[in-house]
Amino acid sequence: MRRYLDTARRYRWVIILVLALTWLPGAAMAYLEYITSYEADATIWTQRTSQQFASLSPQDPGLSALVSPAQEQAGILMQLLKTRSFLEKIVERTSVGAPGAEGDEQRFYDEFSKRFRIDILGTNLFRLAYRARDPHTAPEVVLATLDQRQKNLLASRTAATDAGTSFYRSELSLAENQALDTQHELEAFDAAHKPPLSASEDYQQRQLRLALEDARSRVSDIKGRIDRSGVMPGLLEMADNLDFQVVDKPLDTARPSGGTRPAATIAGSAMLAGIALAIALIVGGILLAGRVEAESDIGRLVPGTLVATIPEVARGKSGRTRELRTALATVAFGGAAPAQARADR
Amino acid sequence: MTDPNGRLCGLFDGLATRIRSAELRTVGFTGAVYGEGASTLALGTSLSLAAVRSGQVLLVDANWLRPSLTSDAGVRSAPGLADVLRGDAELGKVLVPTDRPGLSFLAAGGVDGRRPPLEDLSSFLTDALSEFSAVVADLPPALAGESVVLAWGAALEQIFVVVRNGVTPLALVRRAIEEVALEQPQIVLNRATAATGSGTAASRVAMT
Repeated sequence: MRRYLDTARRYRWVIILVLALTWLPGAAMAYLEYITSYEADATIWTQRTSQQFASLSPQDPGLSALVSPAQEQAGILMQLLKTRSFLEKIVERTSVGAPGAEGDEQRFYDEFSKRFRIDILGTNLFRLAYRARDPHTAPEVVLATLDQRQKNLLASRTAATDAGTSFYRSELSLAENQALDTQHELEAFDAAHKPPLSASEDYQQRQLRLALEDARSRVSDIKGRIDRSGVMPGLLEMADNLDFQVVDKPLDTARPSGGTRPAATIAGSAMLAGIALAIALIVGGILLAGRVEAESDIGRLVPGTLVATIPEVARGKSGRTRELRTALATVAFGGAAPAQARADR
Repeated sequence: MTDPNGRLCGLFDGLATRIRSAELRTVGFTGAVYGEGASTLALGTSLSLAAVRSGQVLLVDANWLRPSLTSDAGVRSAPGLADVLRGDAELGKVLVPTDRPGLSFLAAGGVDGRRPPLEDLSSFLTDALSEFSAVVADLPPALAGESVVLAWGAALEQIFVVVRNGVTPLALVRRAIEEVALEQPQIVLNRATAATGSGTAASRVAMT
């Protein structure tokens, strides 16, 4: 531990510089994030009479658990907020400017999506929040999101009703044709057979009348179904309004809010990065210290006795390091040396 | 020292004085790895010894792995130590004269991929000491030529381990000392800066 403290003391100014270079910009960014964050939220009450199991993982549908109404609705809304088409519709409904360049679209919608937050407050209650850069956009986006969800729901139900209605209409057409054919058959029979009718003819006439009654009741039944399907979206919308009620609508907020968490994340990341760099510096310093750096290291770090110290030869006037070895070889071996001399072994 | 490069050679005077005062006649220089400056120290110390001793000094290039002193002398293909140890040549006939009075040089000699026999190092040194007052050997790095350094370590009176200041990892120095089984390693700190603790530009010698 002492080695680490000594190394930290030795590199203290570098460590202070590194910490200053990471912490100060991090703190500045965190402050900027905090003062430019305006969050608005809506609290939503959800209701469902029946219990429902939902899959815990999309990859493993067999793994399911009982979910509360709030979890279910929050999950659906969260999934919708991950779709680009839904986000595009929200942007269209608000004053949030759409991305200019095509390449920036993906990044814009990713960033836009990240600014939503959904918190489940209870079994039936959850909160939808949006963090904007100005105080007016946040409530606008929250309201637009809830409206768009409602619109999407209505559109899907209308589409389903339309499909059912067109099916019933084709059924009605068939039933009407069938009733008409039976009517013609009965009329033709009545025209061909005058009373008194024989027992056989009387039976045939009764059968035709029965078939006509059956066809007419079927036509009537289908018409009833068509009428009911017409009012179904309205009924479902009413039921949905009861099951998904916006209890607290988003409000305009004049003071910055909702930026505490991202600001803390930025500040924390900068702090951790600074500490990590400082630790790396100390570890690097210790690794460098694994070499003899002073006479006192001999004996303390190496099992031996220091008997002599040969100093580093100063650089020559030419600026190049004058090789001690070359000079010595010249002294010893004369002319043969310079050509053959090598750098220090 | 009176040569134009006397200032440079003077860097090794302290070490040479220490060798002389300790009455060491056979010394060697090695490092943990290449680049420590062992050859430079062997050369510089032998030059200083030649200047301060009354007798002749023999500088031996025993680094067959990378015979840089032999290259410096320009006698790479000449017979030398390896040939003497194999008995193919006589010491007196393969000596290379130097420009420094009192200093002779023995090149590494022809190795041809075969390690020269090291069993007769003691007799070689005895022969050399009959003609020279001191023998200085440039040895290969301890971690690269462990067997050679071990053999020389047994025959020489003292081996100096050269450590390059601020470069050589301590772990390698420790390993080198362990591998060559030096009981009392004598370390020379090379290329020390003023901040290292030497205090002056001149060499500093601890008289232990």
